[in-house]
Amino acid sequence: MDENGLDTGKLNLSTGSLNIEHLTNRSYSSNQSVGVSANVAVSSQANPGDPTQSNTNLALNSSNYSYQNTSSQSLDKTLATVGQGSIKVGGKVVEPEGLNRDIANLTKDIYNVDRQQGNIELTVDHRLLSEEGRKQIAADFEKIADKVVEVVDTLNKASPELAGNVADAADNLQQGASDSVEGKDTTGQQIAEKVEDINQREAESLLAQELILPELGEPGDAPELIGKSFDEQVSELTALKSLQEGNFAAGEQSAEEAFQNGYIKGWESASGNGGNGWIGSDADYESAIAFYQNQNAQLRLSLGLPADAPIGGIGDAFLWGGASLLDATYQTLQFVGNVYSYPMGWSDSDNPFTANYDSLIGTDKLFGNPATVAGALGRDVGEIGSYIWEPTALLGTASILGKAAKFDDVGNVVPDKASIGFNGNPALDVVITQYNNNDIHHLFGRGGDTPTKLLDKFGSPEAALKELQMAAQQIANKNYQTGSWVTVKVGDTPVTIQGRVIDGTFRISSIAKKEF
Amino acid sequence: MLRQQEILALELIFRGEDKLSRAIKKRISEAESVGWEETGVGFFSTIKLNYPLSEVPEVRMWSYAFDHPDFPFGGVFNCMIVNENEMELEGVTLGGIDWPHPIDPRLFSDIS
Repeated sequence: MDENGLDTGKLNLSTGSLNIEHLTNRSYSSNQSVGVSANVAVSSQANPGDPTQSNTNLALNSSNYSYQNTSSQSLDKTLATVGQGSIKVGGKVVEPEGLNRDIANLTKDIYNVDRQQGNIELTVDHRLLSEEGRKQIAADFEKIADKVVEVVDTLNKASPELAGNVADAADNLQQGASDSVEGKDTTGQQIAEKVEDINQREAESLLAQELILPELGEPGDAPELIGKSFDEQVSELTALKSLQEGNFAAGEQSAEEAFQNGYIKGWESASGNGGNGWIGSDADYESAIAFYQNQNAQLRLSLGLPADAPIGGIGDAFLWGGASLLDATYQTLQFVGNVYSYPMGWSDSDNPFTANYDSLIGTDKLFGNPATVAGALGRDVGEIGSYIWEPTALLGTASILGKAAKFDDVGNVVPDKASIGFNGNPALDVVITQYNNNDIHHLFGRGGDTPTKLLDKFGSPEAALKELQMAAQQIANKNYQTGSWVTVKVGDTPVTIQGRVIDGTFRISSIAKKEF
Repeated sequence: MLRQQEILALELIFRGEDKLSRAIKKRISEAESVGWEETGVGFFSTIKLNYPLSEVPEVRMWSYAFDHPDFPFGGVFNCMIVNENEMELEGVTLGGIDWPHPIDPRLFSDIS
C-alpha cells in the first residue's frame, strides 16, 4: 500500500497453503409476531367438543397467517482479502476462488432489510376441504381474490420473497377454487394437500428468514382482560340470565354471542387446544368484553342501580318481592282512604285518581332501595304480583289513571299516560313540544326497522315519540351517560336510543335504525 | 369521495389504533357516500366501501360523543357497520339545536 492506503498492486505472497474464510457479521432486532392459527366458527350450535359436527359448520373454518413486525436485520461478511499482486501457493501462481482482492471493499452486504411496521394477514378458508364448502367458496371467491391481491401488494413492500410465496399460494388456491367452480374432478383431498403445502412453504419461508416463530399460546400470554376474568364474566352472565328473563333480550343475545366468541378463543388459547394459539387470532377480545360489560351495566341502570351493583342472591329477590307486596298493600289502603274521603272534602289532593301516594320503598323511605340486581328484580316482580294479589286491583287502576307512585326515586313508576307529569318534571305534552319538525324527522324520517315498528304501532311520528319519551324518561335519573346507547321498552318493543338528560328530562337525539 | 363532514366523523369515531379502526381509516380515501341527507339537526349518509372489510365486527355500532364550542349540549357521531361493504353514518346534536357543520377537528373534545 502507498502512503494513502491505496493498493499499489505490487504484493508478492508465497505460501505453502492458503485457506479462505470470511467473517460473518449478523445483526437483528425485531418487535414482531408471526402467527399461524386456525379459527373456530362461533355459532349457537357449535360445540368444539363434538366430533360429529362437520368442518363446514364448526371446526376449522380458516387458517390465519399473520405477520406483524417492526424489524431490522442485516447480514454482511468481512471478506478474506489479499491485495493486488502475485500469490503463489506451493510455488505456483494462483488466483484463489472466493478471495477478495479489493482492499477498498472489505465487506459485502448479503442483505439489509428494514421492515416497515406491518400488519399483514392472509386467511385460508378451510371450506375448501368439503364439497359443500367449495360451493360456498365459489360464491365469494372474487372477494378472496381481491383480498389476496391487496395482501400481496402490502407484503411486497415488506418482503418480496414472502410476497412471492403468498402469491404462489394464492395461485394454488385460485386453481383449486376454479376447478371447484368448473366442476372438475378436484377432490377435497387434493385441495387439502395444496393447503398443507402452503402451510409448509409458509413455515419454511419464515424459518429461512430466521424469524422468531411464536410458541403456542400459554395462559399467561392471553391479553389482559378488562376488569374481570372470563370465568367471572361467564358466571355473571349465567346469573343474570336466570334473573333478567324478558329484559334486554336482544342486547343480551348480542352480548352473549360477542362474549362467546372471545371466550372460546380465549379458552383455546389458554389450553393450547388444537394448536390454536392466540397469536394471530382475529378474536376481538376487548370489544367483546367491553360490549358485554356495557350490557351488564345497562341492565343495572335500567333497574335504578349503580352500574357496578352486585348481583345478589335469591334471598334478595324474595326479600324485595315481599317488600313490594307490602308496599302495594300500604298504597292500596291510602287509595281506599281517598275513595272514602273524596266525596266529603272534594279536595284535589284527596282525589283517588290524582292524589300522590306515599311509598315504603325509595330513598329515605322505610325499606330504602334495593342494592343488588336480584333485589331490584324481586321488587319489580313484587309490584307485578301486587296487581294480581290485591283483590280489587284498585291500586293498579289508580296507577294507570292517576299518579300513584309505587316507588320513589327508583324509576319504576310508569306515569300517567294522559297529562300528569314525570315525577315532578315537565308534563309529557310540554316535553313533546320541545321537539321540532327537524328533530322528529331525524328520529323517524330515515326509516329503519325500529322506527318503522313504532310508526306502525302508534300511527304517527308524534304519537310514537310520545310513547318513546315516556319510556326514555324512566332512565333520566339513573346516571345515564350522555350520548351512550340505551335500550328501553315501548310496550313489547325494545328501542335503542341515545340522547342527553337536560334539566331532568331525557332529550332523545337518535333512535337506532335496527337493534344491535 | 366522502364529504369533509363524513371524513371527520369517521376519523373521530375510529380514532383508535385497534384493528377495526385501522381497517376503516385505510378505506376512507376509496369510500363513496350515497344517500346523504341533512336533517337540520344532523345528517345521515350511507358509506360504501370499495374495499370490503375482511370481517364484520361483533360490535356493530360505534359512536363518538363530543363537546364543541358550537354545540351547547354536545353532539354525537354514530357509525353502524351494516356489512363488509356498507356503513350507516349519522351526526346529530344533543339537545335539538341546528347542526352547525363543524369542520375543525381541533375544536372537538370527548364529551364531559
